[in-house]
Amino acid sequence: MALVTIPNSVDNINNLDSILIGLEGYSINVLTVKMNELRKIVQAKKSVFVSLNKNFTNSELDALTDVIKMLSKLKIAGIFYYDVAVLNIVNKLKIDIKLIWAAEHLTTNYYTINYWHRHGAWGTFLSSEITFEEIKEIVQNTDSNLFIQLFGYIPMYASRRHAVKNYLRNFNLNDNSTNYTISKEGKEYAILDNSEGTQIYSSFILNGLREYLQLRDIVPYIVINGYGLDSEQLLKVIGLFNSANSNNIEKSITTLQQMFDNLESGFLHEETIYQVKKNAS
Amino acid sequence: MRVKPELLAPAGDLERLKIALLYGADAVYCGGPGFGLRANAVNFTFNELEEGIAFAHNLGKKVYVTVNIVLHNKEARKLKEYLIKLDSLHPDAIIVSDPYVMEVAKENTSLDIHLSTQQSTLNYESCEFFYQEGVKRIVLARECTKEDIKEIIQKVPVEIEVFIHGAMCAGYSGRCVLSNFLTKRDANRGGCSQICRWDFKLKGDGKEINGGKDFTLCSKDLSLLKYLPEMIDMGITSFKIEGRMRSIYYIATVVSIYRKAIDEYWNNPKKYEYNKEYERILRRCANRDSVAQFFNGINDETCSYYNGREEVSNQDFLGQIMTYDDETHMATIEQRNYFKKGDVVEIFGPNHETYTLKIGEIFDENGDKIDIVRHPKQIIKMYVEPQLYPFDLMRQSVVDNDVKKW
Repeated sequence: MALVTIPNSVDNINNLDSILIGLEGYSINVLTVKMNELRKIVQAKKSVFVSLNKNFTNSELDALTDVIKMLSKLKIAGIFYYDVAVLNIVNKLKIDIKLIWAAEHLTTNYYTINYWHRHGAWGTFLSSEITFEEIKEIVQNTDSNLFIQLFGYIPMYASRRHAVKNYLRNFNLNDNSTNYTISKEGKEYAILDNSEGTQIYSSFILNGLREYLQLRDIVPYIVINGYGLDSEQLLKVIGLFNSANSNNIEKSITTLQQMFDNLESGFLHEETIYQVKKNAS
Repeated sequence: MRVKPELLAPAGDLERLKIALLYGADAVYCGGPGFGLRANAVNFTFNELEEGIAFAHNLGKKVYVTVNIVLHNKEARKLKEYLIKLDSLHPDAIIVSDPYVMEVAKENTSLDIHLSTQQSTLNYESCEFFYQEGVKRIVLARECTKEDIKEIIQKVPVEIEVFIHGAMCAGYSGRCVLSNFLTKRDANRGGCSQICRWDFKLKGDGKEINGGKDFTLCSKDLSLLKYLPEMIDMGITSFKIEGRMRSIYYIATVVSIYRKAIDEYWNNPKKYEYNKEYERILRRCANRDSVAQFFNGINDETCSYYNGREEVSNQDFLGQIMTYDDETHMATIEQRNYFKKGDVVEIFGPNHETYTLKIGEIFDENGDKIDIVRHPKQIIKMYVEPQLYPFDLMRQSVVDNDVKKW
């Protein structure tokens, strides 16, 4: 098992063994860097996964193809993708590179995971909206190399629209804040408005440390999302995951609870409802 | 070769399926008893689907059934049996978002496959992949511009379906699970609770930012009525209207307006003129602002909607004609909103032009005279001189005085 971290800043990358990082203009929900920075990072690190996970338009496909070719010449560990265009380009070019199907909220069952595996996806980044039992069932029924986030804020919304900028413009407001949040019913959500549109994160930090003890033996890649954490917190969390065992688990969880007051287990033990009324058949 | 585009309408139930087809849709899409993205709509039973498909096919029209949820393990196990049952009803296609559904359908049924907008397909590389996988039609992402659509049509020989009217997702379809996190209802399995229409407080670096109205992600509705000629010339296969949860009045109004506009341009493109009256009727019917959204490449504050909770419910829809007696000229009408003797109203339907008339004597089911019709679904009779038909609808007067008066 490898612990893969989504870094919160380029400053702490050197302290991390395996990372998932993005490229400016090609990625959302990860820290992004320019290609020349990426080259340096790859040269210095053992394991770098690159996320090309935005939705691409026609006009971006030539540049995307060039980037994929460039990445294939670097020793990266693999490419995470959302848009099927990435897979189609890689397959057409017959490039030998590991692809990880990372369609966020759509990676929810082993049948579809196996479908993409047959079509060229070496791995799958599992959805955060499935349960612990569903994860275990997927593990038993696929040869896809699985990634699952077990710590950190969870991306829950992506839009091409600029929700914050549009609001400020609509009401003629001048605001140059660095960090925006939206709140409702006592919960606060980070909202990012950038060149790729708008992204929103969960109000809570997913804490799957307890589940990690079981999953680390069967899931090859466990992801820790550093978004919203400071460097010290992130390194401490990674340390707790690396050293977790059945003897210290309670103490480790207590340590996490002392560090963060918004830890939750997300959907690991709670299924979502999707049908309120029952149809007659 | 110039191909006339299909007008595709939503059908939330059997009644709306019939209304949509009678008012001019070439095809409808609807949810079956499972695997659809409107889990909390009434949806169709298998028997209703069979009846709806027969009704459509008798008119030479089509029915597409949505099988577009994002599957979890347990649903996927039941899929094959469901698709085989659907295939036995002979719908004209299924609309899928999860490619595993596509694969099972290909292996076990003869169903044609349309790829749902839930896949957020924006580019020709993705279209090419799915076309080679056997998809007959792709419903493009609503974020596509006209240039995107044109290029995809030029490069990939797959049928292209584009939304032309109705509500918009604020985020990329499939990439929003706000509903899961804020209400525990699964957006990608039909439980979306439309968090994008909620109001939020916005803060910048910890300080509240208030523009006078709360922050929201909500977008205005989509309307591409103005761009129909351009879209027809582009070779788009199907024009899709959103709204399986909408009323029969909405469906009838929107379908009939788009039917007229498409036919007017198709039949005589050189003499076609944009009809502002159509736009006014659509706007009044939806009761929400609408714009062209991404089609023109515009993605700014003019596409956002900040009046979500100030909408006043539209009371235009007055009643539905149930029967009409040719000899006595008495129409039997089921009430939908308050009306009274002396009101000037309009009756429109698929078989005739819109009639404007002043309501005369009204009789209740017992034949007693009444002046006011105030009870929901109350059945009344009244004299109407011109021929009416079942499925005709009565509304408050909304059009200008260029229609025939009685």
